[in-house]
Amino acid sequence: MERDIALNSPAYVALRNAYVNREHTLQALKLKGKKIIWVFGATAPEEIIAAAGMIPVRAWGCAAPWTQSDKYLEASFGPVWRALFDAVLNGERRGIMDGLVFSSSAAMISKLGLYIGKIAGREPEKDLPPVYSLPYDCFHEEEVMFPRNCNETKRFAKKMEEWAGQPITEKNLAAAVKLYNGYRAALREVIKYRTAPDCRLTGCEALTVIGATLLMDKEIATMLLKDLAKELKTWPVVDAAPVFYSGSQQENHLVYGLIEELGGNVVGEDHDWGDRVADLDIKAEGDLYEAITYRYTHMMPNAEKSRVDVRVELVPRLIEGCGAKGWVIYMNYNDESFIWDYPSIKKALPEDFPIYVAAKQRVPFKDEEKLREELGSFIGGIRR
Amino acid sequence: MAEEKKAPAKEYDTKSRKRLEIQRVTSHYQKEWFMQLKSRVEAGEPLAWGTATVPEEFLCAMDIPFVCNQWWTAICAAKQMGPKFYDFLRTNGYRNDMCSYCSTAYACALDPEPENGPWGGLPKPTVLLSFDPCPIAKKIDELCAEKWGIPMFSMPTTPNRSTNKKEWEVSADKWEELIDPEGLELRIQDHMRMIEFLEKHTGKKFSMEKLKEALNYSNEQNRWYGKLRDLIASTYPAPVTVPDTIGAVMQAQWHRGTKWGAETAKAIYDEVKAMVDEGKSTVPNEQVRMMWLGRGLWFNMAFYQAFEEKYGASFIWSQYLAFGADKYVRNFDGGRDPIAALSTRFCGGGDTGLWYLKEAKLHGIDGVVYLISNENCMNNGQFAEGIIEDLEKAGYPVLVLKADPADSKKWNQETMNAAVSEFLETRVLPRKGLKPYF
Ligand code: SF4
Repeated sequence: MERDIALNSPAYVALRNAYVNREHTLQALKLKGKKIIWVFGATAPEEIIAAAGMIPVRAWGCAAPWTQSDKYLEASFGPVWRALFDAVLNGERRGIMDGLVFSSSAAMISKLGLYIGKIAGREPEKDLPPVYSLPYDCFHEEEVMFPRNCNETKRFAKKMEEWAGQPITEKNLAAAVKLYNGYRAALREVIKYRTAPDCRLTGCEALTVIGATLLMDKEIATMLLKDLAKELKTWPVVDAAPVFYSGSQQENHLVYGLIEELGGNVVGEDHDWGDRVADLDIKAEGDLYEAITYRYTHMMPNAEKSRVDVRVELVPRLIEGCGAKGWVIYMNYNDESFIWDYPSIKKALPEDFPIYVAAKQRVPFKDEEKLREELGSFIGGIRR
Repeated sequence: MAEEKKAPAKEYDTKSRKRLEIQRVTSHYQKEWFMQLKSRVEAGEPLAWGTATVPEEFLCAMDIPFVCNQWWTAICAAKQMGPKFYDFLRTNGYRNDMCSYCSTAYACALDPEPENGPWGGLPKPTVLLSFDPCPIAKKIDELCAEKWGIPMFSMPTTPNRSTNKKEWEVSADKWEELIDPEGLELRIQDHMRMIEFLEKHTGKKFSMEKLKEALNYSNEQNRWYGKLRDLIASTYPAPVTVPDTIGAVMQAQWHRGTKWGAETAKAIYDEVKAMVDEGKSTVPNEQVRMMWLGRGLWFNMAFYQAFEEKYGASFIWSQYLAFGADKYVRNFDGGRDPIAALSTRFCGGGDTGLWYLKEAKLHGIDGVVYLISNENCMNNGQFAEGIIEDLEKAGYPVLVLKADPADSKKWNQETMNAAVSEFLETRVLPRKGLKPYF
């Protein structure tokens, strides 16, 4: 839910416009004459794309029907991935899509990269943008993987230079790192107002703000975030049951909106369109490629690409940090890696900590009545 | 396409008819081996646990017995114990309908009475080797290791930047071409780390001489598989079908690197060759030759035989024998490094669709049944639609069965039978101007 106070804030409204009118936002960026690079998932260093003189934006899915997905994808691809796949293959956004970078945020993102690459080779008439997959490994021993991941960063930089047709200079890279660190700091200043009980930003508002900045010029985004942060302390406290969200990434308000409608509010999450974006800065000294690699392989671990023990340490800490009084785990069908962490994390939380697990979900909701009833009674329980 | 719906109570044969002597020999051996293994482990010997892609030859070279996750899953499935084990997942807070193929061992580990498992239950391993690239499988391995209280070695997935698509053409002799040099170097380093890990946690020592011996046995075994594959492909009617050999082939495959593995592969070949020489076939009324893509239907081997009598449909191809034939042999003559050779196995790369096409042509395939289990496995089916499109374009009709290969509870025999029957009647037989026998 977006409140009147938000809709009357010029900074929020500017962010909201970018979030709601995504294509339009990118068309405006395109007018700057730069290439627009779509980044799938959260673990590809946008700083490098920016340093090469291109504009990185976070890939988002299109609305159903997903005819291309129905043709090419197995049932194992849940709705988020189908929406992303069709967003590339239906060609409607081709004019604002000059390259596709697939991070290793999730196995399905890597698979999307693989499939789209194959289709580009099989069906050249589709005129798909060039594809690059960046395979960071965050599962294995740091001392083994870090040098390998650094090599991947350098390889990625070479490819981006090739796409941009210009070299990445040290100066440009340092500037991009500085810009992004500033952007993340500004974002953290805003999202700290999500923390309960003194929460001043609803989950939907937070999604709007974070999501908007993923699609915007980072200088403008930083400016707007700073303006917004100044206002937020005067916004009224959100009177709702604070919950932490884990699960399928939420690129829109569908699930958070339902939670809010039922009296809850997401005050923190661990998916790619949420707090994860603001996590961890890049050390702007020493070897920048190493510093960049460190950030993208050490940022808040997501559920799928990190070990159970890491999640057991992380999630209770995040829950406590954001003041949540309950934990919602919401998974689209076949997006259910979370289920393998959950019983172990549960043991690390207080015994009676309220948890709601919604599995096998679809877009639109498959059984909305049941979901409403269960989620409503879960949130009601917390409020009581 | 046929999908599992709620399955009715089971009232059908799940065990295939054993038609080869070697099936009895290997079945007997695997049980005996397992009982001996239990005694060895109980007496303090180490035991390694891992996935099908673990390079077992290293373990042979270190005299560390190995139990493979997929083998154990198949044993549990064949003994119809899957549903019981998956229930332990549910009672421990996990979903019992996800990742059945990779979670059987963990489910077994949650059994408060593990001795009630197949053959008195799995002995507790000493080390876990996690080689599956799937991130969920890694989590399950981690949970398993935690439950067993044992250390785990996790193999990174090295990106393969080789452009080679026809891996079968180079895998035996020019295996250096299977992966780019940087990738190969990283994989060699990882295997060296695995050796260190094993030495540290089992007290066993690695011997290069023993590795060479193991790789020689493994090569010998898989060359027999190559000969067997070629024999089946070139004989009409095919002498044997998938259920006739799959058990024996895989039992020996889980022992690759040993003398027994090599001898058993030869024995399978010899028995089939004798059949060919005598003009015998387990499906003498063969009308159409079928290919089974995807994981094996371990709890219901009889399914493969269900279409022989009425349709003369003979399932003669599955990936299990063909993998051995085309993807395992690594010759290391001329002083080449066996560790490097083994590091190119399962290194990604290659084009599976092209390989299927090559195999379909070689075997004179008339129809393809593709088992896709991605309702509970997000990683099953790699660009399956592209593969299906290419097979269809090349003249091979494809039927997709969406089913779980490990959990028999979900299998609906009636639906699946009907789907394959209809497929045979409407798409496969008519292409050759044939009809069902009755
Ligand atoms: S997703 Fe598939 S491959 Fe991965 S653990 Fe589950 S069943 Fe195994």
